[in-house]
Amino acid sequence: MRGASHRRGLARSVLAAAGFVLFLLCGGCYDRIELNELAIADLMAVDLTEDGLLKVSLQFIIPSELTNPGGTGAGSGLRDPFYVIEAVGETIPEAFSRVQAKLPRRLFTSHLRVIVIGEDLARAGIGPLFESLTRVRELRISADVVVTQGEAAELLRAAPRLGRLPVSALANMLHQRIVPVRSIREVAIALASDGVDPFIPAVGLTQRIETELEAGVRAQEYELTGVGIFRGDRLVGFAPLDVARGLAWLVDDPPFAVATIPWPPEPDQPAPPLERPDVSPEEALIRRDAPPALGPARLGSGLKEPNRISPLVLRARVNVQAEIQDGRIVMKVDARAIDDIVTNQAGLDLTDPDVIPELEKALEASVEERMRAMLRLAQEELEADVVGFGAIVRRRYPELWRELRRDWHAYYRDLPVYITVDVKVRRTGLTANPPSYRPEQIRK
Amino acid sequence: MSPVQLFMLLVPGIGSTAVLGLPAVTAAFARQDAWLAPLAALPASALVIWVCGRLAARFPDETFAEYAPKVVGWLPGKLCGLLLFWYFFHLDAAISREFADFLIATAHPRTPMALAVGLAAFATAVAVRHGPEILGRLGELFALPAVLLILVIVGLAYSSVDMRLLEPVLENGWRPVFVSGFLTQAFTGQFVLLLVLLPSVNGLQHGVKASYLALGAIAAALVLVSAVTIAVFGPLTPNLLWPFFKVSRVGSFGTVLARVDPLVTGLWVAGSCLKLSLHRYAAVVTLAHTVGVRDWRRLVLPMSGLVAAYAVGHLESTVEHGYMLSYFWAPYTQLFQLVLPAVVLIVAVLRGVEAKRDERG
Repeated sequence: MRGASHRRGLARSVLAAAGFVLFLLCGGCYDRIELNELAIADLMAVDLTEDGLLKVSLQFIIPSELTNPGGTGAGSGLRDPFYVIEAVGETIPEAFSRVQAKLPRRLFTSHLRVIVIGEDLARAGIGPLFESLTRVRELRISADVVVTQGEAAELLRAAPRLGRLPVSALANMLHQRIVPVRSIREVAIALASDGVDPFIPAVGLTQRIETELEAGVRAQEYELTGVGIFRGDRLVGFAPLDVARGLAWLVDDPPFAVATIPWPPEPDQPAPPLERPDVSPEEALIRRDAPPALGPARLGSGLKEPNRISPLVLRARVNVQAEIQDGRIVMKVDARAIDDIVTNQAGLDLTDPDVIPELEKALEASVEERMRAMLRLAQEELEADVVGFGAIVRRRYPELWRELRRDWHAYYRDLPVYITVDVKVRRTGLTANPPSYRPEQIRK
Repeated sequence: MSPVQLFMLLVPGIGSTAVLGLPAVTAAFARQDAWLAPLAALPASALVIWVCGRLAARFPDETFAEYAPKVVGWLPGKLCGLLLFWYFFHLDAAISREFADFLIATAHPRTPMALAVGLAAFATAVAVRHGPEILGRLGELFALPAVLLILVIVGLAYSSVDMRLLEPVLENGWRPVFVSGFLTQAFTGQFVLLLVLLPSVNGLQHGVKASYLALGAIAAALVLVSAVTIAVFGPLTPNLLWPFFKVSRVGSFGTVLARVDPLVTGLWVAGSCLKLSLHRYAAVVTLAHTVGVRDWRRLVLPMSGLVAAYAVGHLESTVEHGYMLSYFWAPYTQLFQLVLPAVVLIVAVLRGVEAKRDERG
């Protein structure tokens, strides 16, 4: 009796276990997605056509070409692991469905890492585009966004040498912290926020030097060219890279970059006349025995600007606050940075602690000038509040903001901005004074 | 069921669905102040627990449907039981609907809703048939990973957090915060489950204390989740359907750990199923005690079928669901969560009705 019931219990549990396993197998019967049935898009360019439609160009990964080590297997040598298909539609999903008509596999957009917006579309307005970008289920809201000067689809012609996929080259370049990266989310927030105008990094193409092996192969790389400045959802202008770095400071995303200054900061005497080294070989032989030039001004005098000092920003923090002074709103920008000196070709005596404060003052002035250049562009020329001064005012003075928001751009144009910069030079690279200079060539 | 189990059952059993969807609903009214809404909802939710606790103190071994006729008279009492049953039934259907909506919107766009709802209804029916003990065990199993996952998502999203998006605090005053708090109360007021659960808990006082703690934990989780969501999405928050899900898609830990959203879907499935089972259990037990069915287990399967059918049929689209949650659900649920038990408690106090000493044993 007991044995029978025991056996029946065993049979039941085996049955239950089998049923459980079967249920596991059922997982994803509906809506299953198999990798080899997908066309995985990783890079998208969106342009405005002449008749006002959206042209979507999608770059697809070819997984089998990815696993082939480039250049070794027969026939795999020159084949890129990606290809591009484009289609025109009134909306993004419409264009997607037209792309699908040209694909043997199901279009899969979840792995889009960068979205490139063409200049015409950006100037026409990106609001509708970002509607689709945030709504479509498959798209990741963390994908990066860039704009181009000219057609966006052009950017899909690049075949960067480093990295198997262009999109990794592009995305990794963006994340080198030269100008702030913008994702779909951040641009959408700027579009939806009161008192902020969006900005989007601008990327173009550049040629690389053809080596012997590459002769005849198209040789194009990505290049960060600056920042596209928007007013509302419309592109109104571009800030070149140098100016865009000022923007990076203002939005507290300071670039890990150098910002070279002249030394002395304000040369009171005119630069010494150039002593060009374009001498004949015979003359050079004679001159070799002449005594070397003394004093810092003589070194490297063939360079256009020999007296330069280049710092590298190690850490920086920028705080922007709104304040009321004499019944009027002013912005206070307070930047702090810790610098390393990576070049001292001006020959300044960096072993002297009294010199450092002077150097710091000059560096502070240069950082301020970077921000000023950006502000001149944004406030006076483009009237676009890309730093989000309006949002800062709104956070600090909500009641006042309610009065200002209507005519904010007019107010913003003449908004006084006070900038204080505090730079600390904490180290001087791997050397103290220029090791290649003689003692008398050091600038005291 | 021990008080600890009750705590671990209530936290995911009530908090799970609120975590994912609530910030969008509250941010629609309170904007960047939506993270204050759970705090605004605290007093009313604590009141729900207090009322349930007082009623349970008078009738420690009975559920609401059993003692309501003794308190307010036979017919009104049975009506009260039916009303409470309807609340649990309707809420169970709404949870099914929300569960399926999320699953379909994020992972399985072409799966028929009947299938998603039906599978969940069947799975939870199996759990419910085993009674509150098993539900408590499920809670124990699930609570800790759920809390951990929320913390992981918050941690991963850290680099996308911009606390300035939470300012200005109280830009439009307290009013929108209280409106949002009222909407939150529809979730945190679900502690009315205690009317059915408390008789199964060992140690009434400890059970009530565990419930207050659960309320505190849920409110803390909601404040954290809402604040992080707003700090990541700012003015976009009210227009995202499941904002915290999108937060999970934003975060990453270098290239090592990113895109944890499938885990969120898993959390959602587990949390919703726990919540579904809890309310199914409450609905079935309440109905059984109202109409006098001796073994409530027989009702579980048919009731699950009814819930699934109602869930699929009672709304047309996510648009209706969202509108219902924003404009109808909060006042409607308060009738059952707060008004109904409070009225019964007041009558019980006034008439001095309580279980006989010997029954209390």
